[in-house]
Amino acid sequence: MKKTTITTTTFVAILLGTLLSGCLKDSCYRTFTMYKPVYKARAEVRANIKNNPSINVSEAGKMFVLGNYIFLNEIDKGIHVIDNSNPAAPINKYFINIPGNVDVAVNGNILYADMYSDLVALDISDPNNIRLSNVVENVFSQRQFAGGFVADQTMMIVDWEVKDTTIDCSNNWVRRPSVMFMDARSFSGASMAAPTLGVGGSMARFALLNQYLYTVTESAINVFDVTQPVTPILKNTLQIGWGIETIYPFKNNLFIGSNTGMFIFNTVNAEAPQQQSMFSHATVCDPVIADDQYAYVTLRSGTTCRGVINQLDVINITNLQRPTLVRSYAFKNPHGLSKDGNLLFICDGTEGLKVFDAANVNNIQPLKTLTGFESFDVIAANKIAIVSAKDGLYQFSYADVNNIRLVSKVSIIKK
Amino acid sequence: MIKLVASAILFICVLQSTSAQQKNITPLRFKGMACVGLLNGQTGQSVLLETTLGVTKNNWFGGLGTGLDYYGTRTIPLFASVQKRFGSNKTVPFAFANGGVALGWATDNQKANKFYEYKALPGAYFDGGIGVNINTCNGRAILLSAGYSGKQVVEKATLLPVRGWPMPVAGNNFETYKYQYRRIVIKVGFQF
Repeated sequence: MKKTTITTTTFVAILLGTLLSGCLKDSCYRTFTMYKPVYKARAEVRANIKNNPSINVSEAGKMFVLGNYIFLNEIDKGIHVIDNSNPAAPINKYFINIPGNVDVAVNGNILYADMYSDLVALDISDPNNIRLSNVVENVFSQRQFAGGFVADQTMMIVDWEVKDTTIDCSNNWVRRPSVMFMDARSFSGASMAAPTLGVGGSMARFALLNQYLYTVTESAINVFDVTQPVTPILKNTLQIGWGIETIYPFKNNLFIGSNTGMFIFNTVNAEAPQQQSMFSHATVCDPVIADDQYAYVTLRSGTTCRGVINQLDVINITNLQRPTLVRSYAFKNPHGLSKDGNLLFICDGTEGLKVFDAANVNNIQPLKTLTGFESFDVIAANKIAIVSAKDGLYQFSYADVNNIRLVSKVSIIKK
Repeated sequence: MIKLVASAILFICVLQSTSAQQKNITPLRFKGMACVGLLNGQTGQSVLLETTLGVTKNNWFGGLGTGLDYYGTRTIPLFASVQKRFGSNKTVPFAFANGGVALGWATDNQKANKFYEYKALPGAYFDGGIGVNINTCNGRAILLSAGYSGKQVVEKATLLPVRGWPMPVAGNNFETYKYQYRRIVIKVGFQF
């Protein structure tokens, strides 16, 4: 009986295998978004770098505040010029088309912006008549497209046609090939900062200091001489290691946030900044700001940032050669930050904007938490905190710290 | 796939009705099974580990199982299991059907990828077949079986934003892979 049963079962199993052999075909379907570049002639692009009619904010990037104007980056598209004479009713006045733009800095009447690998200088002396003054070509060589895409160098990409596609990948079982997307969204990043002339966010990758424009890439500092503001000259490129994220100028020093620590460089030799020290931390993202005595560094985890730490580190920088940790404060997912007097503003991701009394750095006291939005970066000046959030640009008045209130919001309208 | 699972269960039910006359009422008992399997399909050969816990009564077994399935994309199957034995001799043929979900489990290589973040979404999982149960002692038995197995795996790979660029990157920056694997499975295990 036993032998018969096993024999029968084995026979049925073989039969089953034979009958089902035609059903053993594996399948794979890959769904992805294809991007097809829309080109324009370079001359045509340059001719269009001027005041154009305003457009809705749909992919807000970094921001820069100068006088009554907010310059808000539209990622890879250009800059919104927002008249903020009345913070309760900001007017989105113009849009400057600068393809490939993600960063801004302002030196007097000259606005610097990146345009893919080029640096453009705009005359903004009359915000109603912004003009292109100069283009310095190929100074941001790190700007590359993802996935090995190579653009037509004789033209310039101004937009992308987007199409969702599903293909059968059964015949190509190389899983996750290196070219995944024709996502040519820019590598790099950049931004603003120039506290003496205007106010930039803490996530800046452009910084102006003593007639020099410093820009950071993933691994280097570029030094531009802007003594002649209209004609920036690339003077030096210093390799300082990978993972560089932000740059913040204060007095004669540059505070550079990397994903492994904060570097302090002095600019005694402006064209060759010298590293004075480094304050190490775990691998996370870390925007930084500083004042006379302390540097404030927010450390956050996340998909790009890795790590698990979410906190504010207050670092004593009285001795720039030996920065020392004063105290750490726990946060949910802190991003950009800003300080005005003793008031410290911290964007804490989905928990909104948090305002603190930082008069005593050993015991920073919470004053107010403004919720209902996902905040990324903040600029606080003149009793107005301008907050870049996922769904819009918020402005809060802190003229009365006991009654911090929303005064306006420019909504982001997704395409 | 659902049709196949349903067909397997129906097949077992039909066999049950034909052997109704041989019913021998027994009390409810807890049983467990642990198996190692060989999976063979278009992608190649791979290993399956699974364990099932449940109750048995009147030659029927019902339970819940889990394991590790290394075929194609590493997954953790979570399934409901039903098994019908035909007879009560020392060597007893049986039929089984399992149905549930396959949960993706990213490999270390996927986790270490600096450019993409992988997220696996649950997909369907089933297997069914026949085998023999060789009783040893104290209710323990050796199991041998062969059958057909299928699983779906859906993976979403998201391009990580550029380091240093803390804002969300514009545009769709992900792609999805939907795999359907169909395999022959041969299992060896024991019942306790």
